[in-house]
Amino acid sequence: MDSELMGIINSLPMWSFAALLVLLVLFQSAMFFRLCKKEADAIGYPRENLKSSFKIGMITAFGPSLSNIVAMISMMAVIGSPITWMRLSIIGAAPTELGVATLTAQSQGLAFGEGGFTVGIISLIFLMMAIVGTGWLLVVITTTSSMGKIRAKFIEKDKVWFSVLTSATTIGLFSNLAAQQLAKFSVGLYAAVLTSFAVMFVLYKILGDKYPGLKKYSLTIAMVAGVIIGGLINPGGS
Amino acid sequence: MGNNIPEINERWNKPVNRIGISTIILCIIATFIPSIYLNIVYDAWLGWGAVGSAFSICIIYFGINWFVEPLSFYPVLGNAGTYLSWLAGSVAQQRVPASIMAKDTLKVTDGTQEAEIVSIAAIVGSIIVNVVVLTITAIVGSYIISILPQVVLQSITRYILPGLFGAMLAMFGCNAPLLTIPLFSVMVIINAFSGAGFIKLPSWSIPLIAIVGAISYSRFLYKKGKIGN
Repeated sequence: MDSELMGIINSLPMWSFAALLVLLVLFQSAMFFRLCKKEADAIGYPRENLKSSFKIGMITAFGPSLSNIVAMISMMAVIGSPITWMRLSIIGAAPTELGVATLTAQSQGLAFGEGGFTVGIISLIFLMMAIVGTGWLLVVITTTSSMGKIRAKFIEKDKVWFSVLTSATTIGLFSNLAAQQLAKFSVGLYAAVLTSFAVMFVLYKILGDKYPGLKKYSLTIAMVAGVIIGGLINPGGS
Repeated sequence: MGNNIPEINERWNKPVNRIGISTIILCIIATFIPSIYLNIVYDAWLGWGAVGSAFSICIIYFGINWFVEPLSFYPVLGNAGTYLSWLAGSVAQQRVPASIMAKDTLKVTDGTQEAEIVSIAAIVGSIIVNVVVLTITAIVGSYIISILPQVVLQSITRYILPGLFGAMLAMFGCNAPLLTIPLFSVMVIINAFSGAGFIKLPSWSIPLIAIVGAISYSRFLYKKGKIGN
């Protein structure tokens, strides 16, 4: 990686393009939060609860957000800090962005992170990241409104079934994500999944209602416990 | 309270769609700027051939997820939650856990306006945290990585997401063990068989099997009166 290229991808214009997108994400959040406050007043729901919900969201996402850091550092070395910062603040998660970068490099006969990148390749990677991300966003803006109507009909017809359906989808999604880890046959992974499951069960289900303060932190504590036990049993992984 | 009462439609649904769609369109345009800039200023354009070959590989890997993922998470997130979550990304890792934790802690019922706004407030909180963590990392990340022992880094990289998924499973699964235990066992088997090559399934189809299976089986249990009351 020559220093001229690093200079270009870490230049001020790149930082400003990235900042523009991060600001747009924050702007959208601010707009929705404002709408929530208005809606809370309209339905007579205490604003205090919205504030505590906001805090719960912050605390809950803190642990998971750390998982991006390592991927971020390795991406920064190849595609520069500003665009890495921008890409991880929007759309896909780290694995998606790394995947797009790797596949694009491969399509041009290069391996990601092994040098030989030119400004042309970098520009192509940025373009592919934009195109792949746009796919999700186009589906979201074209289908969400009509999905909303279907959802409203569901709720009207049978509210209890809707609530069962919602939790069933979530259980389906996370059963599969946890099952994927167990299917890899690694002792460390078993230990991490089971530890975090057990810690969460105790903090959230057994102690949670008695100590609501503890409940808020339960996800991060359970994850950290999983990392520690997994790391102690099999630090390098296999 | 149903969501399609005309008043709520005017007051909530319409502005939600307006804000969601307009900000997302602006973001789509903005994501193309870095590449366009490099092409114009540094003459970086490799030609349509290069774009075509990169695009065809990427679409094979990600194309189906464009449709499957937003639809799978939709029931949990709702309209505003969908706009926010897909723009900010890390949906399964951060947005969904934040939303569910808040709805559960504040004891609101899915499908009500209370649940809707509580969920949005939590998702907004989770987005702010993500941006702050990433911004700090962009500035001082390399330094932090350099002072952490290798073993700590490896453990974090390897076990933080499994830890998250295990904890999330405990969080929802324990409310409905009748649904979770069989579903989880079947998913372990399917993933193990497909990982070992005994059965050939495209990777996008496995989450879909999990969701369709979860919905059909929960419908069965619900009709039997075993869950939801």
